[in-house]
Amino acid sequence: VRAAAALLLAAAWIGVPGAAAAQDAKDPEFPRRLAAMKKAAFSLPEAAKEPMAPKGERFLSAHQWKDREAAREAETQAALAAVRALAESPDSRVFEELARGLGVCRRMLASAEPPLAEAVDRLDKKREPWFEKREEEFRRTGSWPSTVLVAEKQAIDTLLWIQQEAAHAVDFALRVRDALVEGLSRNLEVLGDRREAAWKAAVKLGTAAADPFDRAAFCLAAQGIPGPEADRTLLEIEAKEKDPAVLGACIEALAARRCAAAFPRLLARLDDPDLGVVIAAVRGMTRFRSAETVPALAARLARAPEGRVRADLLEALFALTGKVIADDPGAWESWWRREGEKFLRRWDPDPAVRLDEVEAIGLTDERLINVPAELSALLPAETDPKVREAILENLTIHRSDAVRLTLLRCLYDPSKSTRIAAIRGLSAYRHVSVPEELMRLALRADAEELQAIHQTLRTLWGGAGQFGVDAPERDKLLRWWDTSRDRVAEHFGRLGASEVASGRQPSPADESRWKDRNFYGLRVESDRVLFVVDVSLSMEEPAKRPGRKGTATGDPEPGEDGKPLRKIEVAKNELRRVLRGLPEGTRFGLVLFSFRPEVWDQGLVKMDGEVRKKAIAWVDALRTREATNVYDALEEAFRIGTEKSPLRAAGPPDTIYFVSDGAPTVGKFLQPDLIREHVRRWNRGRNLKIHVVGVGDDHDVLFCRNLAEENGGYYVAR
Amino acid sequence: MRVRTPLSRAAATAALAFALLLPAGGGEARAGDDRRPVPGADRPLGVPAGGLDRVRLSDGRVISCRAEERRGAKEVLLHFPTFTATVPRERVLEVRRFADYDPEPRTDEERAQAAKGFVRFGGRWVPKEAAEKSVRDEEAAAKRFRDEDEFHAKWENRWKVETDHFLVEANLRRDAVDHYAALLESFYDFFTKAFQIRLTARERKQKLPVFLFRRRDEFRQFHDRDTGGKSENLLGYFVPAIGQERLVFYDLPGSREETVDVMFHEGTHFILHLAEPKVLVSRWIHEGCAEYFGASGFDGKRFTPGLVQDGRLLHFQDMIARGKVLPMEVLLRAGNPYSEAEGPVEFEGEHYAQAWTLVHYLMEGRKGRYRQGFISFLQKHLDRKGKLTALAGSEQKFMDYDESRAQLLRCLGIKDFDGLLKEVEEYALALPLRSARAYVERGLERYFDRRDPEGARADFDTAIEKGRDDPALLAMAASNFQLVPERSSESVALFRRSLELDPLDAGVRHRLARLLPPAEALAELEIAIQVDPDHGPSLGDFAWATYLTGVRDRTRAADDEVEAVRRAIAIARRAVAIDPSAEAHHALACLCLTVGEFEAARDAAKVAVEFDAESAYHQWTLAESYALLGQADEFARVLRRIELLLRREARRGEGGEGGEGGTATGLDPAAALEAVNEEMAGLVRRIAERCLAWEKRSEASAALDAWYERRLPKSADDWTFFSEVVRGAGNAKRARKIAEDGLKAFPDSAPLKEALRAAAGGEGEDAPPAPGESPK
Repeated sequence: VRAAAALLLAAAWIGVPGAAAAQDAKDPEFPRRLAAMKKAAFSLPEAAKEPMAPKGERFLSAHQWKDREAAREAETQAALAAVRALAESPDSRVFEELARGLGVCRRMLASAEPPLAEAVDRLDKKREPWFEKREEEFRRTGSWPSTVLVAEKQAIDTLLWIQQEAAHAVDFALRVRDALVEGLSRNLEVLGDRREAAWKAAVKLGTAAADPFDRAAFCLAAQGIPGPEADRTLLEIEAKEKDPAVLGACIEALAARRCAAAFPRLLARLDDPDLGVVIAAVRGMTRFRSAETVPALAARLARAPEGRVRADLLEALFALTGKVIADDPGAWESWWRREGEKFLRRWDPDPAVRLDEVEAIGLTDERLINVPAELSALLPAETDPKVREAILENLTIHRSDAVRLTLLRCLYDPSKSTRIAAIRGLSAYRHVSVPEELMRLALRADAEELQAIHQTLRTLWGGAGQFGVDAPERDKLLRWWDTSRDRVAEHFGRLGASEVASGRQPSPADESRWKDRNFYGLRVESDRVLFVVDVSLSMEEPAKRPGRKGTATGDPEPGEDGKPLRKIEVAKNELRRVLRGLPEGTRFGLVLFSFRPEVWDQGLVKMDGEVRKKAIAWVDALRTREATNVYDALEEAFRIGTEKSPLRAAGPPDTIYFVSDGAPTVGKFLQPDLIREHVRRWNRGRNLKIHVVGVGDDHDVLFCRNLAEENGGYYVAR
Repeated sequence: MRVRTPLSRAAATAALAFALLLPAGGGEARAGDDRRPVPGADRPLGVPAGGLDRVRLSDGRVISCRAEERRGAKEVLLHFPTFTATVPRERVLEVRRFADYDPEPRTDEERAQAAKGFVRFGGRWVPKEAAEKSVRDEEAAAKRFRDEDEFHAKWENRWKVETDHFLVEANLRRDAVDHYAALLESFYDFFTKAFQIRLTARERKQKLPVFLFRRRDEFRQFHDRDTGGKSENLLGYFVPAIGQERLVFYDLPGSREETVDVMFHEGTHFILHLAEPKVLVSRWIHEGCAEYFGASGFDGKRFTPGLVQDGRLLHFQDMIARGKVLPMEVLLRAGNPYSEAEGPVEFEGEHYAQAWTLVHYLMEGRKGRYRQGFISFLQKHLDRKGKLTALAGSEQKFMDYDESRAQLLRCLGIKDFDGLLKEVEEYALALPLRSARAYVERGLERYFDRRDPEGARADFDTAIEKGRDDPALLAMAASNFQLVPERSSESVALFRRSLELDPLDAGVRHRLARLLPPAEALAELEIAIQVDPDHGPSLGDFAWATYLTGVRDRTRAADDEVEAVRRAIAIARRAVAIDPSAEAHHALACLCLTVGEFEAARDAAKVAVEFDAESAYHQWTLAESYALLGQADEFARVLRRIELLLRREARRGEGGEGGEGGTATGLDPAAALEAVNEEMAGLVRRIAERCLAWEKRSEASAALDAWYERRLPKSADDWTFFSEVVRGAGNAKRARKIAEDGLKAFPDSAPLKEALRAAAGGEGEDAPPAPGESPK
């Protein structure tokens, strides 16, 4: 988010050359680095400029695809490296050059997007009948076609190749733009004391920008700038600003900076008329640990009967205390009256008191409190190394999902000993997130960390005889990850739904309350909710829960005829139930996707008796079709309710439930990583929560989990 | 029989390829599919190490020892420091005689020659520079070899080898690529002759691309991209699309024979396809033949097709036992992509099993009675004499079910399939398994799944009899027998027999050692680390066994023990460098504690705890280290965690926690808690005694102080001990106070009264500080 902000901030500077060059400083490396960046980053790769089919080949063999994919990634990486290298230069002209680069990027994007649209169009025209034929055969025979007409497949492959090249061009430009933005932030740090002039210019332009989105972006960019001047600027904005999006961003930035003067403002904003501002304030409150925090949130909870704010308040209270207190408005307030004073010892300024508290929690019988959750709640705000160590030591003797998540967060801890302890502690968790995060860390790990990573992965894999990487070397580990990623996900995916997914299992007490208001077991708390459901043909296959025998949570009950239910039938049942359960007045929407997404009615619609009937009838009548277009479905979901969409009568959703059973097969972008990247961009400043339901054995575990967790939601495998 | 993972949806979409799936249950064995490194294989061959020879074995290992080759003898003696291994001469590929080149002159003769600038090298006296140059050259050559191998291991730098009919692209070692390519060519010749297949000019001219991967993960990635499917259980596949045929598989780790099986299997698909690309031969024939020819023996000159496919046979036998044999109609229709109305059935494990058994019977059963009939049935496809139906939208044709059924009956000269199926079943039940390993697998299945201990016993006996000269089989049986109560006593003997046959397998020796009492284990582990100095688990266990056997009181090594412990510490350090597991670190910590290296012990114990925080043993070692270092607060913290772990364990015993693996102790909660308290008191006492054994009185006192800060001793003995330790540390006043407090709880305790007297007597004349310590 900070990066996005800096982007707009810097974009505003284009055309104001020299803004940052008030104080001169020369770097002899600057011209070389600049030239290198221009060469690598500002010329779209040859193949991408005019996407062409490869010539002279009888067919596009697998290794051609593979080689080209690797080459594309290498091109992009080279460009990003050149940008980063320039950002590291202390020369006073760098900032300006990076900002100018954003303009070039915009032009690159403008020239890359139309060919992509055209390529997709051509491909779809060719491919749609092909998919229809497959569909027809599937319906006729109940099985997937086993033969492919070569000439047809060849033609489609050629068009797909062209589309991939065009998509690469767009992706290249977007990633270079992100790198430029990150570079701008980094360069502000590199400039150090000479930042002042640049900062002043930024404030002037950032606060006076006409577009509220630019002003919001400025706030988020200011979040990372050290020094009291940024605090002051942000507080001023908070006092004057009227636009809710800008306010939300400003509150987020102030909270992230833990600016003490901002706390009363956040308290006041808990009752802001705008939902987005309230959500930002609720989330921001978790950064401040004072005697007033919990009572203020508890009081606000009593005033929030339903919806996203309520869910976020409960989440914030859990993040602060590690406690789950009955879902009753007064319960938190009465708990605080009883125990508040005792609880505050955990946030005492004296580390010795905190240490005692940590020990006390650690020694409490696990049947009385959720020890891992309460300890985990203390870690984010703890600054004393000794207390941190004690928290970790007490945590690792428990094995729970909360501990796994905490250990994963500790991989980013500034203290190396904490990072290493976390790496080692993770060897007890056979969860897909572990290898993934460890490999992310491996990119910047030193020798000692690499050794710990190697050993942890080896332990997870059942020892030296099983794990093929024989030495703790970065290259070897990365190579292993590069080739084994999918299999690793699959391996862990097979362990069983509940072990891999991050979704909350409803407690018996919840079950009656949320009996009808849950979707695949996930509570539907929001009152602006959008269901995005895969209706590709593979949903016609029998529903089977992922997981090896004995670890899966059990397949769904068979249908009336005794046959196992199909995935689509399960999805329909889930939709029908939730549609019946949603209270009147809830704004909800339905997007079904296969070859392309289809939106029901007018985007978000207000629930009433008539609407309920119509929506259920629509679900009853839905028909599966071949192909899975994840990208376009999510794009559509994010467009609903915005000004770009005709479907904006009832505004945008604040929560999305996304269901899919397979990998993307059509759409502008097919690679799951790229799709996630796009979602991250769309969700900047919007904070839509995305819950993901991965259905069946074949869903992409990594994609689903990351999509959910990057967007504040839960992932469940069903 | 375990059920194979069902075909995924994606795998089904990829069914345009002829994919070879693992037999049922085979997936588990290969789940860890990455290549296991051959121990020592990357060691340069020619570098002298302490005057030892370097010996290269036929399995790729390179070991250091002194090799003794006696003239005329069939065995080579390999001398290690404490034992001598006798191995058949054919297992030793090469011996580099550097034993005589020792850069350090050690004998008078060597010193005399050294003075003249000569060293003994390769059995001759040569100038030292020349010897060293040779060594350098060796090293450089080894490095070149490694670098080149690493270069070609990347797919983008793969080898491309063209033979008469194939274009093999592979990232294996060059000799392996040539081997596979040559084998593929031989198979091609054999198969085309066996089935009297005549290829058209176009098919003869066209060279089939063969992609052969070094690693399974590379293969999988390629496959998924190539076909859009998923490859969980896939060993290889062949794509029969006209003009785009390709054969793709990977080098199975450590098993060239299995790779060859896969290659022959897919090669059969290829040749059947090439014989008439425009005819789609039914799936059961394709797979049955491919499995039949996949299990071909080749001695370099002749092919022997039709060996038993154990996995398929076991599966089919299981199908018979469960009454799940497929009707012929189902098999004939199954996986046939070309049938129109009926709806094809996917070709699953049971179809493979039955197709193979059927083809095997038709080719081999009843002395080949049906062989010619079956071949002519196949020919009806290839020479298009059978009635073929055109496939909509394609130039390819296929034989529909009715025609196929009629032709098969006619060619075989039978009226219906019922009798044939019965014959096949009888044949399958009588057919012996090929490998001893399969007998072990069937025995386990009979024992555990079918509850048939008699049948299992027969299978186990057969396996041991059949595999009596196969060290790997014996070791595998020994490991598995540990699971079978009736046979578990045989494990040690079987491991020993395996080691007699292959004394150089450190892994097997390590597994044996784990079954032996510590003293015997130590001897075995000593050998294991001589044979393979990089075998991490053996190194770690060696250190642990030394701790168990080499330190009489486990507290402080006596003078005569120190040397052995120091050596074990060095070995433990090597173990944690190679395989930094919790166990290895724990062993290191325990050893360090016995020789007074407390800081090193603490550091190692901390790592052990980080890797496995839930082990009370690891926590205990850490607590001891803290106590000995005088870090009393940390000590108490760790001890409290141990208490928590013990309580948790006790609760599991009660069944209150519902945790898995908890054993019911039958204790009621109060008794369980009491037991934990007692255990903790004992633990604390032992740690304090350990401090005292190291004359760390003030540390002992501080540790007890920290522990009893938040609780009181639970017995008169504990009070007495506490008071005495505190008095020993020179704090008589406090010792007296402790004794007084103790007496309040236990007014009649004589030892406490004694302690009180002693403390009162010592007051004012504080005990002298221990030597080298200053009183706190």
